[in-house]
Amino acid sequence: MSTNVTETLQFNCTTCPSECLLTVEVEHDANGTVVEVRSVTGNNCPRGDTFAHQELTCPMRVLTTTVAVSGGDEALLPVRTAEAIPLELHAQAMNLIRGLVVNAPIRMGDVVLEDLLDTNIDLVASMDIDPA
Amino acid sequence: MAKFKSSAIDCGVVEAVQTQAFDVVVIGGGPAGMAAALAAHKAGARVAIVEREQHLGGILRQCIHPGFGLSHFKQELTGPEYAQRFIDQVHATDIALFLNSMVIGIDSGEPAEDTAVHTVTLMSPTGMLQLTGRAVVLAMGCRERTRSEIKIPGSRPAGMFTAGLAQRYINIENLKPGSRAVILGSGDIGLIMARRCTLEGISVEGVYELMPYANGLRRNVKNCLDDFGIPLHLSTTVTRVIGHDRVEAVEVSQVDERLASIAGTERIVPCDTLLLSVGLIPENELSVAAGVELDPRTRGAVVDQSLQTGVPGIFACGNVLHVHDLADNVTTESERAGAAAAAYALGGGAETNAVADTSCELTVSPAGIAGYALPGRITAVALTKLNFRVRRPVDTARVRILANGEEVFAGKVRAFKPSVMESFPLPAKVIQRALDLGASEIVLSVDPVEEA
Repeated sequence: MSTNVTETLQFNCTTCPSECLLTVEVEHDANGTVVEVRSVTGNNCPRGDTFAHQELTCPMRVLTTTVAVSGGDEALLPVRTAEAIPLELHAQAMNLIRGLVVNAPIRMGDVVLEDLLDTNIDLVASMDIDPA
Repeated sequence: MAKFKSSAIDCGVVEAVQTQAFDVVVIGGGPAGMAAALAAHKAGARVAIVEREQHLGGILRQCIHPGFGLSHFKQELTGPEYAQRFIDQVHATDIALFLNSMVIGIDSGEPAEDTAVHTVTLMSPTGMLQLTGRAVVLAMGCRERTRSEIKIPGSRPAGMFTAGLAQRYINIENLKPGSRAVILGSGDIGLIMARRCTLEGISVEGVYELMPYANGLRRNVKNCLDDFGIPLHLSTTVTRVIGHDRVEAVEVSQVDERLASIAGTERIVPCDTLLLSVGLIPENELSVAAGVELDPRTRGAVVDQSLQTGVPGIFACGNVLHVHDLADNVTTESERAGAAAAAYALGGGAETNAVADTSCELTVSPAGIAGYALPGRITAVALTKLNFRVRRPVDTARVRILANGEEVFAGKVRAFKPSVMESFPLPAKVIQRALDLGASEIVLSVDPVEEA
């Protein structure tokens, strides 16, 4: 006998500024693992459907933070993951990034750390920093 | 004894201030100033930007989070990336940059030789300078409301910051504001800082919001609070700050429908830091000193459809005009202001006004749940972009345009949220209809409707 539970969730799609409110029917097994996303409604475009499926299996977010700069006209360089990475890796990524120091000059898009936590995603500079 | 007399008056010191001439002088080098300057430059004007910080970019330099550029660049950028794209564009032009320079006045009030030219006086690292321009664009942005503006009782220990100041400490200055924070206000900066503090190892006890709904964008509630399990307490506010030298705790209380705290609901939340995200105010001291009339609702200038203030040749855009929630909207608006300023400057100033239809002079007022309407004046019969913001969230409401009590336009029924600055294209024929009715005022009313 199946012990799976079907649950209805509501959350906003964050793909674009429209922020459609999605209503999602999702089936969980006894461990709470998502078995199937049964339906997605409320989305005004197909990206909402893709977003809902991703959100329920492995939510992905761009991580942004700063790293220390040596020899620059700013103390900190804002950095981002080039693409979204799994949300569950963010705390671990922060621990890794916290110890980094980069040398000025830096150009937007420069790779600060390659292949962050084996995600195949680079950590890149968000801004130019000139020498002090 | 000889009467004391300032030597500066006789010695011509004022005349000795170096002056540089431009067509358009832009005050502020943030997203509004850069977009306005680029648009004015593109229209053929000689342009200067005056920026008080060392770098261009304004507040975007500390907004390191993503969410920018979705409409303007069709991709999601961080604040610094959004800024850098404009900084690169500005550097690729001959727009003159006056950095580390603080504007101390526009039009000193002394009679100028040419009254059609504005004078911007600034203090730069090399001393005082005057920039002249037929047009000036105000793009100074806004600043945060503080504790004194919301009147939180209690002691005055260290550890209370506006959310944007804490953001500057963490993202620019490499300083840690505290280790255990409470955030008052669910504006976007407060929500963003809840996530930022958490990632940097500062625990966030909760976000408290006076209103029964979140004030920030939905995406920020989801990505900044829900992702990290940070609770959002609605209809709750900080009623006392506790601590002598440093914040030790805050007392929070629930509030009733009239936003008054409910006795008996007080709760003590231990923390060493209180971040305030309780609203933004356009920074208009320079504008007022230049004689620009402000709208008490936006606390920004009253402008016409070309974003010109009541002082001919002075334009305003971005957060100094009205507080935006998306930088992309600031860019779009500021490009309009920059282009209009260049057209004014190059077209010969006052003469361009004579071309405008002098029979069109309408004021625009908000009604219903619309908190403001911008522009406040319409002086041309042409498609006009109206901006407004509602005062409370409603699921079903419609925009109505009224003239002389008659409904001349009705929009479709939809939901409105105070966190979203709305934009509404007012067709020329509606403006003409208002004039035909003999109206001197157009009313933009947002009215809740019962669902059928």
